[in-house]
Amino acid sequence: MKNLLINLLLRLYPRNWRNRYKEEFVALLEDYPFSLKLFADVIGGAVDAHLNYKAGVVWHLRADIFKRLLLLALVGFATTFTAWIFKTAILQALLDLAANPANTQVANSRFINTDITQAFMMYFWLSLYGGILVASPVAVYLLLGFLRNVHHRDSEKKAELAGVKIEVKQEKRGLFYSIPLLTVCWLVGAAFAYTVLVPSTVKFMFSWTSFVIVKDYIDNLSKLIFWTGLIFEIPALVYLLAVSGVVRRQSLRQWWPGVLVLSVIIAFLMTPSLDVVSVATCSLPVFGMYWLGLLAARLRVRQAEIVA
Amino acid sequence: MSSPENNDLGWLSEPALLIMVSLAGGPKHGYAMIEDIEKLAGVKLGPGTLYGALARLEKQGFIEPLPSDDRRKPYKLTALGAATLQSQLKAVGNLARAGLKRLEEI
Repeated sequence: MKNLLINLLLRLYPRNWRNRYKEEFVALLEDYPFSLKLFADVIGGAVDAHLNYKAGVVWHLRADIFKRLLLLALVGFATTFTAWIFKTAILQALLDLAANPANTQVANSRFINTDITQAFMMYFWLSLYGGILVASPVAVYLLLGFLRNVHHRDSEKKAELAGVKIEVKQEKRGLFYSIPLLTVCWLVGAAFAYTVLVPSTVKFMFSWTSFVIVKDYIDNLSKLIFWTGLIFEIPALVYLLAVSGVVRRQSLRQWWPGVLVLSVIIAFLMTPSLDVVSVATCSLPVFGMYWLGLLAARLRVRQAEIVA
Repeated sequence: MSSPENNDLGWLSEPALLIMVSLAGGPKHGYAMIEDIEKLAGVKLGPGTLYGALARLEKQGFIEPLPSDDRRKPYKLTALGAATLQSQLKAVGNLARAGLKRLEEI
C-alpha cells in the first residue's frame, strides 16, 4: 500500500525530475512516517518541481513555443481579418440557404433583429469562426512540429542519462504537406455541412416559428460549419501524429476513453440543444473520425512494410 | 552559477540555508539532513520541501552529490556553496547583532 502511494505521489513530479531524483526520493519516502502533512508537502514539492526544475523539455523549448505561438497569433489575426473583409459575402451565403423557394415553410418565415448590437456581434463571431477554421491547419502544423521537437529532445535526454551521445536529426521538411491535407479536410467538412447538414437544420429551425432571430440563425449555422470542418480534420491529425512518429499507434489506440470523453465535450459545444440524442449524434462521428485516422495510419504503415 | 556575495536562494531560502548549514557539518543523505536540521533548528523538513531545495541548490552549484552504491545519495557543499553560506551567515549575524543592539537601547 505504501509503495503504491509513493508511486502515485511520484507521478506528480515532472519526468526529468524523476529521472534524476526518483531513487533517492523513494528511499527517503520509505523512511519517512506517512501523514497528511507529508502528502501536502510532497504535492507542494511537485508543484515547485514543475515550476522551477528548469531542465524540463518545455523549458528547454520555451523559445520554440514562443515562436510558434507568435506565428499562430499572426496567422489567426490575418485569417480572421480576411474573414471580416468577406463577412457580407459569407453572411449572404448563409442567408441564401433560408431563401430556398422549394422550402415553403422557410419561404413563409421572416428574419428579425431584436437588438442593435446584434449585427456587429454576428459579424464578429462569423469572422472569428471563419478565421479559426482557415488557420486551423497551420495550428496543427505548428503543434506537430512542437511535439516532434519534444520527442527529439526526450530521446536526446534519455540517451544522455544512459551515457550515450546521439545525434537526433532535426527534420524540418516532411510536415509541410500537413497544411494542404488538413485544408482539404476542413473544406470537405465545411462543404458537407453547408450542403447536407445546414439545409436540414434550417428547415428544422423554421418549423418551430415564423420569426427567426437572425443572430441565432447565423450563430447556429456558423457553429455547425465550423465544428464539422474541424471534425473532418481529426482523421488527418491522427494520421499525421502516427505517421510522423510523434505518438506511437499503440498509444493512440489506448487513448480511446479520453477521446470518447473529448468527443462528448465537442458535441456539447457544437449542438444548439443539449439533449442526449443530439449530443450522442454529434459525438459518435467525432469518435469515428478518430478511428478512421488510425485506420489510415495502419494502412500506410502496412503499405510501407510491403514496399520494404 | 551565482557569486557568493550576491546570490538569491529564492522563496525556498530558509530550507536551502538550513540544508547548507547541515552540510557544512559534513556530507549527508536526505534523511540524515532532515534529522540534523531538526536537532539544529527544531524544524522538520518534509521530503517535498527538502528535495525542492536540494534540486535548486544543485542547479546553482552550491551542493553536489557524492558517488554512492546506496539508493540514499549523500550530498556535500561545493567550494562556491561554502563561500555563499559564509557570506549569508555573516549577513544574518550582522542583522542579528544590529537588532539586539537596538533592543538594548529601548
